[in-house]
Amino acid sequence: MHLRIVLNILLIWCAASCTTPSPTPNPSDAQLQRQALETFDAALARPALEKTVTDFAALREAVDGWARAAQGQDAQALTSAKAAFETAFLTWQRVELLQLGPLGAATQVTAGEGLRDEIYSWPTTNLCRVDSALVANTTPDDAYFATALVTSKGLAVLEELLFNQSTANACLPNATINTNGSWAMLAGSPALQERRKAWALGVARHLEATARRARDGWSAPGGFGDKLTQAGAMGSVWRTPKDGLDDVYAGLFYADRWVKDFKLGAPAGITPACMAQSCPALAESPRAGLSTKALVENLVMTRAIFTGSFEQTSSAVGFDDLLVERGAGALKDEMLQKLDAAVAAARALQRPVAVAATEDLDGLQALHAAVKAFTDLFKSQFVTTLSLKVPKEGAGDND
Amino acid sequence: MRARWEQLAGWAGAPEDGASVRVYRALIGLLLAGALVRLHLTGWTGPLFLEPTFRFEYEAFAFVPVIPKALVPWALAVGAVGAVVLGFGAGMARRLGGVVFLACFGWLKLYDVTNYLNHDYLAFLLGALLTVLPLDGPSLPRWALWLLRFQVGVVYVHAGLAKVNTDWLVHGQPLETWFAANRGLPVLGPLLALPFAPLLGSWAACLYDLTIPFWLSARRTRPFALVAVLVFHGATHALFDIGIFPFLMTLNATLFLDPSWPRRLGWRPVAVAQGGRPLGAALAVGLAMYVAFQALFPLRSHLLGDDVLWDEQGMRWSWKVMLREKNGAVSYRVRAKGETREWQIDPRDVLTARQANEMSGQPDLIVQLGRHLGRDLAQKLGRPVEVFVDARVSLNRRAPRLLFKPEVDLMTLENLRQALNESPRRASSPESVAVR
Repeated sequence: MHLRIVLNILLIWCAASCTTPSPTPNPSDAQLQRQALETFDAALARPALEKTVTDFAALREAVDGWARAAQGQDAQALTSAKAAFETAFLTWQRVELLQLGPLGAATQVTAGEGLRDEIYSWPTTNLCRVDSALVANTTPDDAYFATALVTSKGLAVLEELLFNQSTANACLPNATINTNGSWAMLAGSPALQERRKAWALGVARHLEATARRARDGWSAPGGFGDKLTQAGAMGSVWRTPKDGLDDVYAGLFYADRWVKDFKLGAPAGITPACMAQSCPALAESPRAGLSTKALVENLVMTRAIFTGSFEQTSSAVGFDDLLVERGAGALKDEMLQKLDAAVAAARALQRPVAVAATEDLDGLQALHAAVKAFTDLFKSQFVTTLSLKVPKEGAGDND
Repeated sequence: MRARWEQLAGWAGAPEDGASVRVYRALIGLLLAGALVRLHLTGWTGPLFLEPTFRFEYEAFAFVPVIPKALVPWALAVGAVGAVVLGFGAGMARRLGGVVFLACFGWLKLYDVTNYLNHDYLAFLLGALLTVLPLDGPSLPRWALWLLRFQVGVVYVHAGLAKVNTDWLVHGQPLETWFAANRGLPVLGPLLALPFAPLLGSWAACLYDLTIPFWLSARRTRPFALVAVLVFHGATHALFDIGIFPFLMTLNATLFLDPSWPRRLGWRPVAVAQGGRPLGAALAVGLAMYVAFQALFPLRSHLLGDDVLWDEQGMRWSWKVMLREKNGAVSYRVRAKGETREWQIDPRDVLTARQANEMSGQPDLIVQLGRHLGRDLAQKLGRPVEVFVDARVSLNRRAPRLLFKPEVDLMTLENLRQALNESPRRASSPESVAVR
């Protein structure tokens, strides 16, 4: 009797498993996850951080040249500094997707040190703070930057100092420096330019030092990169390689929150951050006009992390290969197609976001829709298929 | 009839050795206290209680005042002390400890729906039973022991019934997804990679849940059942982040053992009281109502809709444990009534990452947040607004489906069930299902 029951159960189970497309066995699955981590670390993260150090060093050198040049004879040096800024700024836009490890927020990611905000805190900025510091003649040295808020340092501040050559400041009319006349006094003297140069140099030095810190924290022997590629090994903070991939996945959320919502949604009047028809003032890189180029770099890096390579087709292991291994090749194709469409739409914009917000709002909104088409899949079937989770979401238990 | 009742009442009121429940109560007290202390030590009080700027309310518990954030650490500490007193105290002290624990634990757990956990609900119920049942003295009435056993059994059986669905038993989902994610684990990983592991695991879990209370109850099968309990909950502990649940259920299994089992381990012999008091009619009615509620309430999902995994109607308080891998991309479209200008709002504008992730697959929470955003914007605009939602949800690896029709205004939505019945996701053909 008991035997018959057991046999019946086995028969039912067998019938179920025979009529279902069975999961493709692949014992090298964990190996693939580890390979994806290794590719991400070696082919994407380390080179990007190394290039950041190189470009930030060149930027510091160019700003130094401008700071040393005598007033009235510094136009060429300023042009060089601006060019160096553009190169460094766009290099950084790829690193923006690496919001994990030393670059990630200290309280939110594994081994986070918050260095991203130290280098580029946008959209959190307060340029008035810098103008106030210029009036106060604060010395922009290491001691100052060690304790200063992120809004008074980083690329956004340097952009303002290099590209704003007017005597206007970023403060509201009722700010103290405007009401007590201290700014007017400074603006009327050659000291304003000298102080701006000194500040620019201080910020550039801090950027270079911070970029080195980030690079070393990641790439030095035993650094974050080594630890990440050893995810799942004995003593690792990640239980499995998949848990390491969770951190990489969390960094990719940049495409959703920053690219879609902050860089596109706000200036295009799509999010309630803008109650008018459009809000060019909310665009990134307001002085240098690098916002669209930055978007392209962000999306190119998103694609590279997804596929494991900057090449259009490559054998490098990325999230796309994990999808294929899980039998979700169609999803991989759909996500790649949507990502490529978003990159193409960004390239086609051909003008800064602030300009597009007034001249080509439809194009801007179409780009937003293209990015959303990708991130919708990214936040639903992609994460469900690979069982990924943002570490910060993991606070608390399940059941 | 009367004679039969008297016989039953006499049986139910007969004394059982209180040794096992005494040990159980002490260990549960420590476990529950540990669970509260752990919330503090892991730093989870931040994301769970302190960081959210918006909270999802339980409609049925809207009358409970919100715990002030400053009181959270105090509630954890006082609740933990209460749990220890519940575990080790006697008489009024035990009951007072229980009440303190239940008040603190309940107050904390009702803070936000996205913090809901089945094992918290079970912990609360067990805490309540250990508070009110007559557990002092060397013995306890048989009905009290059996009520505790019933409470544990009902969890298992409903958890097993919830697994009787196509995704679980035919597609091996979501275990297949979770096993694949954990193939990098040492020792267990290679086993999880075996092709039949997800289906075998699914069937084993379902059969385990449906039958384990009965195997534990029968003297002959008990030793094997205890091994199964240790293996099953050990495996779930190794694979999933389910907190105290495996420990709680392992402790619960001891309720099914011979009530005198601690004596075999050297527990000092205390005479078991003889005689006992027959079960009174009023108490019997109360017990019957409690038992009926626990047996039937988890089944309400069958009345509320045809697919609880999608609609989540009747999902909570029903022992539907670890049934789905579900994620969604949710964005709201808000506009002033009668106008075409729209704004899109991402839930992460107002929610923590954890809240946003939890709400993204739960229609009632999607509506709750949508209405909050609508009220907020209406206040800013000084005009009534309409709120629509683009909720694309993927369940157990399926391609994302829209949960709500794009034209459904959440501000005027009166019948969530009807809206879900008209959900575009129902138009999906079976062929489009991507689970494997």
